[in-house]
Amino acid sequence: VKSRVSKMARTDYFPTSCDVSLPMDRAGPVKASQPQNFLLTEGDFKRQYSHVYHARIAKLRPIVTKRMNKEWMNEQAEAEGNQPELKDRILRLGDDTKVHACVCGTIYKEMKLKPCVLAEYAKKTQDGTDILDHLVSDSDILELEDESGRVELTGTIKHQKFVTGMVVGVRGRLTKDGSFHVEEFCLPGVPPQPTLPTLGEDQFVVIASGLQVGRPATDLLRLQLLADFLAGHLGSSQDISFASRIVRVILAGGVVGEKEPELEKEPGQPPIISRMKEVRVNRAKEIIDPLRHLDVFLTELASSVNVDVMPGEGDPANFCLPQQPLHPCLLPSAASYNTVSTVCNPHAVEVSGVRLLGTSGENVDDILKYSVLEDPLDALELSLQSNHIAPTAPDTLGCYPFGEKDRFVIESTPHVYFVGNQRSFSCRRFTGPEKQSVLLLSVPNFASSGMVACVNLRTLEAHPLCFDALL
Amino acid sequence: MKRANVVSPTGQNAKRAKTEEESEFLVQLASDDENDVASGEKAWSRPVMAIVNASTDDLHIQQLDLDHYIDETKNQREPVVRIYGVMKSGNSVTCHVRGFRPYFYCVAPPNFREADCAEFRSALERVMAERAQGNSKCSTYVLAVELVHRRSLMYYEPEDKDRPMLRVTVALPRHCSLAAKQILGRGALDLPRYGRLTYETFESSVDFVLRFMIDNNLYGASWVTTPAGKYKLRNPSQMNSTLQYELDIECSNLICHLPQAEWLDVAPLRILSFDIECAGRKGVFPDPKMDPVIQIASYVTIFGKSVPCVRCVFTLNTCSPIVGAQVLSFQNERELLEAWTAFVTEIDPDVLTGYNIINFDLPYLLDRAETLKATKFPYLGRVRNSKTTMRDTTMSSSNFGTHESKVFTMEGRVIMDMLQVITRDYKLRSYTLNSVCADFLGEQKEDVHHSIITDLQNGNEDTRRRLAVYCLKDAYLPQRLMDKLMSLYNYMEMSRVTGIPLGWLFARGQMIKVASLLFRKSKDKNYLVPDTEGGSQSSGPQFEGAIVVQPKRGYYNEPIATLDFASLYPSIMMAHNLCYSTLIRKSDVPKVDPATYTTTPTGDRFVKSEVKTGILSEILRELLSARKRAKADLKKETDPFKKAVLDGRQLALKISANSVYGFTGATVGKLPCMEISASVTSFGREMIEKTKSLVETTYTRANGYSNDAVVIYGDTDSVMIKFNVPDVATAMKLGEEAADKITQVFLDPIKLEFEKVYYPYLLINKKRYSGLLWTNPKKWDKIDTKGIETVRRDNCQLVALVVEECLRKLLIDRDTEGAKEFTKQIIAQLLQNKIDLSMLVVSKALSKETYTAAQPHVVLAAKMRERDPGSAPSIGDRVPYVITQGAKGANAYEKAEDPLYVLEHNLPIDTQYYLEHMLKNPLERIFEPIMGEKTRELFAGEHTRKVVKPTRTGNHGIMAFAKRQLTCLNCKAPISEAEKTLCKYCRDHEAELYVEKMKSIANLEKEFASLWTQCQRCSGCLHQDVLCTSQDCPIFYRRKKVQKDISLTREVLSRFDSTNW
Repeated sequence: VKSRVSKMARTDYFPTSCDVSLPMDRAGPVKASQPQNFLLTEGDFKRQYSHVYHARIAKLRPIVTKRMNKEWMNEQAEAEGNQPELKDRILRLGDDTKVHACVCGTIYKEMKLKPCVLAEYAKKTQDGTDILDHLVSDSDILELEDESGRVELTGTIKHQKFVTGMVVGVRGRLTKDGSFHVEEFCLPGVPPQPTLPTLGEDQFVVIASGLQVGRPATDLLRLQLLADFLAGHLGSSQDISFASRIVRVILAGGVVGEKEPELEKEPGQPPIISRMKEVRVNRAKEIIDPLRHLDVFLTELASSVNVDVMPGEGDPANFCLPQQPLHPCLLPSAASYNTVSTVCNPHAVEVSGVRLLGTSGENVDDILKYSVLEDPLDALELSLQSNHIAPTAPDTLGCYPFGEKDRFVIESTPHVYFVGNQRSFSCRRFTGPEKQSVLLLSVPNFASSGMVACVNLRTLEAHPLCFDALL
Repeated sequence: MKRANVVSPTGQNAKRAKTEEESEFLVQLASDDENDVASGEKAWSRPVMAIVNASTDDLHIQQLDLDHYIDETKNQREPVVRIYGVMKSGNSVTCHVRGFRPYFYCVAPPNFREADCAEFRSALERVMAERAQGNSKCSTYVLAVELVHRRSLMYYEPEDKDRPMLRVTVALPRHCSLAAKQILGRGALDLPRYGRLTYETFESSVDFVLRFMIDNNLYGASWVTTPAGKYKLRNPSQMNSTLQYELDIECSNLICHLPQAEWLDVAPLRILSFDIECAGRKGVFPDPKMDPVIQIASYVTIFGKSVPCVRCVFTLNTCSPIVGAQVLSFQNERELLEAWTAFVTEIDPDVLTGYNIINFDLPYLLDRAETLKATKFPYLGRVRNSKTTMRDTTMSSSNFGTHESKVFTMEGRVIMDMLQVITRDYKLRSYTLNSVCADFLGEQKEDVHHSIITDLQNGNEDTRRRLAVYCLKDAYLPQRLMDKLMSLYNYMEMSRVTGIPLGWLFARGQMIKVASLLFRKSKDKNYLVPDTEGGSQSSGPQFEGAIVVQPKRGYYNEPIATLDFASLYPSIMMAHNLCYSTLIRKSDVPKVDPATYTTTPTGDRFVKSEVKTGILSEILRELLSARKRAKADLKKETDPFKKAVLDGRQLALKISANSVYGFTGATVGKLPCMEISASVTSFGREMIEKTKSLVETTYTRANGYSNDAVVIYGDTDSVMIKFNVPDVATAMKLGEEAADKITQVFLDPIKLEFEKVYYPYLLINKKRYSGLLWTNPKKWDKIDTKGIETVRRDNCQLVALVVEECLRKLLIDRDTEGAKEFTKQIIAQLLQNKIDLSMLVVSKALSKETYTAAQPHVVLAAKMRERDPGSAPSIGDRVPYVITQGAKGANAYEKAEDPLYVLEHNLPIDTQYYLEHMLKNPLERIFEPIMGEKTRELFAGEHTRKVVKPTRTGNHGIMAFAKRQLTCLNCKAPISEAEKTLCKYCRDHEAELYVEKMKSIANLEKEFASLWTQCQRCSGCLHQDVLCTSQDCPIFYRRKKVQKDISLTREVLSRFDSTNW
């Protein structure tokens, strides 16, 4: 058996002068904390979803308004006589078609292709509905809503990259048929960012997703290579010295689960049977073996590095975002190490003063599905610009019915914004208007790619690590 | 027309300024022309009136409604026909047509001479003067008596000669029946030389307006022209209507156009669709004596336009603005109502529509106005100072049954209630606006319960706005339904085909349509329709139903060809020349040459068409050839607007042709004739029998065909043939061949057509069958089902779905085993309580509480009133219920329970009841032809053994005194408080059990998310809570249940959380 760790990164990541003896020393004591917590203390499903939108717009409206003031009501606009009148509610647009106005609201996209629960009841048998990657169509209608009302948005501006749930400002005029002709949009923009600490030396955070431990899709050997590498048991002295600088490992979802096929039901079969108990209880047993594997895998890592375990699609966690941490009883051995934390999805963590925020992929997948965007990094950027982790929740993405506060509003801009379970590795630097600098990072699914992402906290640069076992 | 600012909300000055602004806004909404925004002179009213010069301009008017009034201005009282209509330009016009007088006919006494007319006139005049009372009084009664030659429509006259008749013209319409029925018909006229004869009278009961239309060749919804120089335009001071133009014209100058070619057009009519909301009290249906009208939403649409031109809502108390609609707020309800009348007058709609407006909205408004003494309200018609009143009527019709309804006096406007239209034309499971929308528009409507309406009204301006948005949506839906179903096109064409005014189609029965055709045709042919004593005839002979070939029940897994007689009854009437005018009196039979008549299977005799063509067959021939033409034109036409008109036309022609038969058979109708209707059905029976024997003797092995053919079933106008061939293509070929062959045996125009093949075919019983329908040999079209009542309301949805799925499996998949398996599976799941609750809900409307036998929904409503009078259903509401397990031996009605209550308290469902009383019969019917005796297997056996009953939650009964002992989640063994979740033996499986529970939580959350976001989408609102309480919605109970289930499952899961690790 020949094993190899391919280094796809530039060699200067591996300081040649560094010689570390085994058992290796981890780079300095590293402080880590959770700046934004997604842990739910209550579980009240009696509420409806309107509160989420209420809380969201209440939080974001001042931000958007400030932005609109700055962009559209500046001196230049005044000089050009192009200054819109700011309306505090959609209703206050009134009915004057001559007034040039701007207003803030939540976007709602009326989409023909959006799946509809009611359709299950429609009598017609659907013949083989294709599962589409993108559900956008030309007949989609964009609407803007706030607590006071709703108005249809028209105009030539390409809006198909927008999704339901974003809070935006619009500038334009009412038309005589009651719609609002948009001349320009204004997103909330990127919130302030804490200053990036200056680190004396390289420190790495490894983000892996879709390990699918114990599943047929995952090559066991590959997984073992990963574990050995992270623990510093593998590779050249260079590799080991590099590994010694890994201060934290984040498993971004899909730790044991597989993505489930979209269409579970036989097409045309009406949902007569209550979905409750029947639901593949048998599969519970199927997941126990993988969980044991995971427990072993984590235990192995636990002695050498801090690990954050996020749940994701297919993992034994609840469905609605934020997904709550895996229960300790599922990982009896690993959970006894204080280096292993089971955390929420989404997950925010501060490592050595560098803030990381990310999800197991649901938010980005959903944005891509309901917009024309193709690149997960574009979706991340849109999410960042909208100041919200998962704008499409709750409309098309399951989400807890928050009461007072929408926890997905991004409070402060992270330094690294990642998304797990994507097709491939990619990253780019995003720079905000106030010099906010964010590394957008798409982390590939390990089971299918054998890759994990590695972030240098000092330089905010990322590269993939590829594990491949050739027999 | 200048913009009249008629609507003045809440008298304050500040508000008034607002109205000005709003009107400006509406100006823009109302303008048809994109570029026309600037001309602020339009507001709600019709297009600006062009200046008409009566001496040079022809006016072309599409008439929509006609009535008449008695002009009292001159010394002689005179009937004037009023035509209401719209011009191409969209301007509204009313024409006062003078110079048309009512008349009737009677048989002239023997040897009556032209010169005797004067004497007859003065004698009649004298008696009339004596008898006339009140409104009938007049200076001259009988205007003219003429001797004419006509013949009666009834019976063939062997002499074939016209008889001398008297045409009596009288002053006023009501004089017709006075003279004909009370004087001439009863021998009250003493004529010198003749004494007191009893006269046979004709056509005295024809409605005056219809008479006018017939004599002027004026058809319903058709165009008329008032030629230049022949009419007088009234100036505003002389006008007594609210229309834009008013003119006077002599009847002889009026040009009426037949609805064809350029005159098929439709003027830009204005349609007002509206909806009201009223604030009811808890637990009772709104009562106009007590409960205020709080909102009226109105949409105005120009015919043929897809977007409404006026959207507005009148609200009681303040209301926040709504983008795209005008809000007018009032502090006083009386002002609101009166302002709405002013609004209607200003809008000047030609058609008024809504949902159930005839039996709810309009009566409520009128009653409420009376309670409030809103004296200016009830003037919704187009004639000034003519009060809108209503009265009750019952409309009986063989097609639609008996309905109680209301009739309104609203001159010049057509009331088209979409509920009425849809109940007449479509057979649905339910006729609530909600389910009608789900059926036709494919969307669920938000349904706000009336108890919430009052809360919203009593909230603030934003909650009232919420209500207004809802009200506006409801006001727009009838308009959308009308567009989608093309109801106005279809009814307008019906009116043009049958020649009666549009409004009569809604307010009167079917008979008037055929009567109009009959009168028109008779007039052309010099026939007179005899007066009959309405309703006095006995119920007439009962004729046998038209089942001819007893069904050979079974499941046929081979192609069954179906031959249909095209328009069977009309073609029989034409082929055998069956008509009033061709029927030979029994006493006349010896006088007629037997070679010239047909004896029908009932023994009645009708002369052949070579001798005399019957009026009915001529009417039918014209209708059917017109339909053929319309269909041909339809194929060529590309303009969607004209296409819609033509399609409506061909449909109207078809329906009219078919109703002729019904007219002759209607015992309480205008001119019943059992000889005709009984002959038609007996001919039909005979033909089916003949077809059967021809098929079975022709298609035999002896004649060289591969197999003997068998007719397995014959219905009214179709026969099902089993040719015993294996494939669809051959069956089709044989079917076509047989249709052609057999057609030649029958008289023209009877035609046997091959239409379709069923393969496979499930024949359950008479009029009950289902089959997979093929019209081409390559691909089947659909499942065609007759008489398998999956649509009935008193069935729960489970039945419909199971039956449908079984049929699908049997017919499309041809998987008998699969269907059985599926049925067993459903039964097992039912017994294990796994069926979604909404599938089991049955609902019935709570009508007036005069039930003799106890009914589940009535008993339940009473129970609910005891629990909470506020939310309990009231009269008129539909009460949904499920059958729960009650005490042993309890009646079904005692076991009915509110589904929501069942969800909350986790009550066990009486699954056995559902199996025995709901599922068993329909399923047995389907499976019996296939499994025979073995059908019973479905309802007994292994799959029925496992029965699960949920335990009732909450502390009730004796459980209130008990303390619950924790049990192991896995094996149910009692455990200690410290152990919390599992007993020591099961502890090893902890993770497994946790994952299992987590899985169900995840699934419930998924369901929660998809259901509640769907509700948000339906109600069109993200930032407000969903209020909808539509029990028709398939997810209504599911979304409640999921909330309940989540909290139950979370409770269990929370026991894990404090596990020490």
